[in-house]
Amino acid sequence: MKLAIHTPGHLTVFVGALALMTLAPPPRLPLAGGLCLTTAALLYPAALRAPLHPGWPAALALLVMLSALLGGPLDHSLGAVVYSGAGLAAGAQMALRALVLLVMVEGFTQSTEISAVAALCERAGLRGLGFSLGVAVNLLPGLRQASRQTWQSLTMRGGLRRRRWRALGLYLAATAAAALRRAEEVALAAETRAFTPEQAHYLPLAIGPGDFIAAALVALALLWIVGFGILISS
Amino acid sequence: MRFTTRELSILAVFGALWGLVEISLGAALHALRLPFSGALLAAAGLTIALTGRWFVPRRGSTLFIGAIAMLLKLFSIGSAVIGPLIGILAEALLAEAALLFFRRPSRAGFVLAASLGVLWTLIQPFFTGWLLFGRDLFVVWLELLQAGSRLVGLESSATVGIIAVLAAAHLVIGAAGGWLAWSAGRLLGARLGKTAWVGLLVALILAACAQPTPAETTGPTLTVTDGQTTKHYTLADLEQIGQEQAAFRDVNYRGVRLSALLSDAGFDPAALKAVTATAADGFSASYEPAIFTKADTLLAYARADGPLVEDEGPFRMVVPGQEGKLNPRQVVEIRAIP
Repeated sequence: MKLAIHTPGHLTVFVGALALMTLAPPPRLPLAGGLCLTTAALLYPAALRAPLHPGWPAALALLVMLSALLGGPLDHSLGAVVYSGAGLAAGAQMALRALVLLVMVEGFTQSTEISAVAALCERAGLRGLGFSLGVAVNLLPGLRQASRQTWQSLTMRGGLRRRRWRALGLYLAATAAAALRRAEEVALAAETRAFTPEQAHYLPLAIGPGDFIAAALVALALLWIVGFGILISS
Repeated sequence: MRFTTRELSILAVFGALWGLVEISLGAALHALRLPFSGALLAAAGLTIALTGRWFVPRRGSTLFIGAIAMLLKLFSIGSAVIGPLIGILAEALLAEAALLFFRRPSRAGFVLAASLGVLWTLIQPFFTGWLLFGRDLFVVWLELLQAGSRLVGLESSATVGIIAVLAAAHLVIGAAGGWLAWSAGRLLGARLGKTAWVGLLVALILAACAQPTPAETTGPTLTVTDGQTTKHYTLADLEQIGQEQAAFRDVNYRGVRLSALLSDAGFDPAALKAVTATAADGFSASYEPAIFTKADTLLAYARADGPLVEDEGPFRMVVPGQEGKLNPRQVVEIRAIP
């Protein structure tokens, strides 16, 4: 049986990876990076191509090079090039961190549904967001049409040739006023159907055993790498 | 934070407008790569969000509008992209935090909220840089900065001045957005009769509290306001100001001259651009100076031969010689527009 991970699980993995790469002591950073990349390879294999997008390899190489040249005393040499050992190590750490986060961000965005983000926001305290989001999505075509018609009316009357700022203000006010009137209609329709935010259902949010297992594994990894890492270094 | 259905609809409208600006103007500015494009986009978004705050002056409404705009932006892109997600939410959060310092909505609060929100666009690259690369990135940046200052012959301390100028520019752009939002809210409120909505909310709150209030003990009241200064009048108050008579459609009415009422409320009629009378159902009629300064333009509280009939009281406008829509019944608010 395959355990499915839903948006809460993916979010936990992403936040866990971010915490690992931010909090891990420098000697344990390669271990944390390796663990994150292995997780990404298992969960989001397509995301491993993210750092190959044009620009990123060159940017990471430049970052390592600049850090090696500017990030500390120049105490090493490679042929004619003199560089800083500490700077090179810091640059490699930065590049590793960026590499891991690029992959994890790509994996997270590929696996997340926007409606699940809305559902999470709603549960985080923005009650009624589902209703408002539905209204907003349905309003977009109407808003576009109203703004286009207002714009055409203004141009036909020559409103933009003279007193442009006033015309622009009228255009914005008319568009917003049309939208507010539409909102009033929506509110009346919802109230007629006995809708109240208190009785409204939350947006559905899929969650299963896979998400809890992912959260437990992330917690273990944090404890192992960050917690023990701090203990060992102290 | 719990909002009513009506408030949720209004928040949806302003969230949709911010989302629309992010989708359309954002794409255009991104393609043009103009200087301060991020700040301009944030200012436009926050102007819309704060105009929404004017209509729903409750804690959390700006953040709510930001969340809707963020989700619409993500829908338009098709996947969760971290940059806009952080940007829109942080701008809305900062604006919301700034508004916490103000007990009542005010222009100063809006200016501060939008300024702080727009300032985030200057901070965000540093925040995402730290998130992506860690603290060591700042060491490289500082070294690069010093190398650059040596190259162009500038003191590295000049950086502070450059950052201050950039921050000031962002704050000014934000302040303009906040100022505009307050004006836009007032303009829209005057056009649509915001008080109809606010009045409904106030009525619900008063009913829920079930405590005697001046409105309950002294009868219906009329509000005269310019958005900043507000005065309430009972029937007895109005009778003390004036008892003029005027006729509309062969009926004689008794009331107070509109210009006298405005003067009593502390407004100079000669300095006003327009006056709006709003009825209990949200209908409003606007009057130009030539009409609201006329001697026979009345806010009527009775007929000459008795009280106003049920569907026209407790107060109505009487503007002799003008069409019916300029003579609204059941007037609850007079708004002075300077």
